[in-house]
Amino acid sequence: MFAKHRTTGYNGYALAVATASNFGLVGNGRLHILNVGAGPAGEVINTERVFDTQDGLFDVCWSEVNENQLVTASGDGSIKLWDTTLADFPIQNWHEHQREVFSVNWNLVRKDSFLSASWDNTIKLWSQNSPQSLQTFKGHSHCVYAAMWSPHSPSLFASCSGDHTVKLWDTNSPAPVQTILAHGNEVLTLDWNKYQDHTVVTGSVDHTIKVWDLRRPDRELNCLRGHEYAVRKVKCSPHSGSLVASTSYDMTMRMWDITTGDMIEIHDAHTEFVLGVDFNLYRDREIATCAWDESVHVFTPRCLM
Amino acid sequence: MEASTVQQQEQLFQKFQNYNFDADANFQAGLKSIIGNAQNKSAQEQKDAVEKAKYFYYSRFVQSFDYNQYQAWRQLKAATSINQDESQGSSAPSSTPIVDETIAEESQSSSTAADPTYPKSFQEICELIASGKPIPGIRQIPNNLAEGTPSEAKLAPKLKPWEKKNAGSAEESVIESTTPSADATA
Repeated sequence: MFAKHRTTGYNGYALAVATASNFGLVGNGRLHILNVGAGPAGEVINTERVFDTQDGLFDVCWSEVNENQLVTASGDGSIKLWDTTLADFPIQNWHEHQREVFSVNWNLVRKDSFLSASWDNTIKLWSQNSPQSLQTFKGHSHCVYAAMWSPHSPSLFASCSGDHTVKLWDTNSPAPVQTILAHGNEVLTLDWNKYQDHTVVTGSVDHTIKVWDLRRPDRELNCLRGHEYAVRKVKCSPHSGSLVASTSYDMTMRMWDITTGDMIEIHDAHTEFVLGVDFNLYRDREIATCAWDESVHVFTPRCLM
Repeated sequence: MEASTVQQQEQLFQKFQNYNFDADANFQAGLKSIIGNAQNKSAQEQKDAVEKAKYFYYSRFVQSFDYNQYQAWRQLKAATSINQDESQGSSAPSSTPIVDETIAEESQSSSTAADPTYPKSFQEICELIASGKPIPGIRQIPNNLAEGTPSEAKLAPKLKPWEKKNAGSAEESVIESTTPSADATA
């Protein structure tokens, strides 16, 4: 079963979906809050609310402390906090980054702060109650595409960049605690394995996905090949330590068993670049994807049936 | 790109478009399941699914090519044809460049943008930006904050799936030893 939702005029960057018009190059953004539920003919997706923004939205993350709130990353460098019970405008707006903000990620352990990663080469730490950022992390020499908290530590996070590296940071220190030359090209995405403390997964413009044990940074544990273009997003399953989903400019979402290195799924129903993928935290077989074809797909992949 | 390469590419795209998929039994067999899966979809989506299936099949079994470049080439052709249609006084085209074989087979293209009201293709938008032209359809959104009181959290934080599994093992170790250990989840 496969539910499909059209975000007309906006290219999806799941289920809050951050979108940008005109392929994220110029123009407005829109945050879609979607409700996936059961209908008479299977699953249906309804729009609960939309919020419009001046500039395109590149990422979105739910608050860990309020079920109605979420934070977005914007092409104009701004970061906005939204409350789905209030219409039209955000409840907070921060504008410190000098360039596009490409990722936002809420702390999973302390739950009191979140990170933003920007094309201005920096990462910033924020608290929703503070009008300014709490901290700025400098060290990358190119755009930072993602900064992601460890699911196991209150202060540890990892970032990936156009400078081909992955850096490991502790909020108690302004400089990175570790740098890994991870790929031969830009590293667009990264995620932490939820069941193995030291394992992160990266995806790159070099078409590959790599699995790393941070205690052995000299070489990846596994290199997963199959995508035909740059890998845009990797996501480790919240339900299984061996399952990873990835999206790519080759218009597919693929799933991998990282213990064997096998590709176990190809979802090729999108007709444009696939930018986003996420696992449903509560329904352990459900996946959502979004793409430049202005569509969101919610479905159970064959490999999980 | 050199002219010869462009020509080769154009020939390849033409060959793909002229390929007799109807007479290819292997392709037809696969197509049945694709059409079956796409039954609830719109005509355009079905058409897209078939087009993509053709690309995958052709690329795998006949000759591989770059789908993005093919799309760009196709849209360019369509844009040219649409402009020709307009100059002949036909009604405005729909917002997305819809291409069928008859349009795409018309030869020779010059680089002209499609209907300027709907810059739908990536290339068109790039061209508008490069030439400093205004992008139609951008609205001004006030930089305001929401009025009203933000909501209070009502749900207690739920454990993440991995925290539940770890909490399970932590509880077991608590039972085993009398001193609860914070490292039990490590």
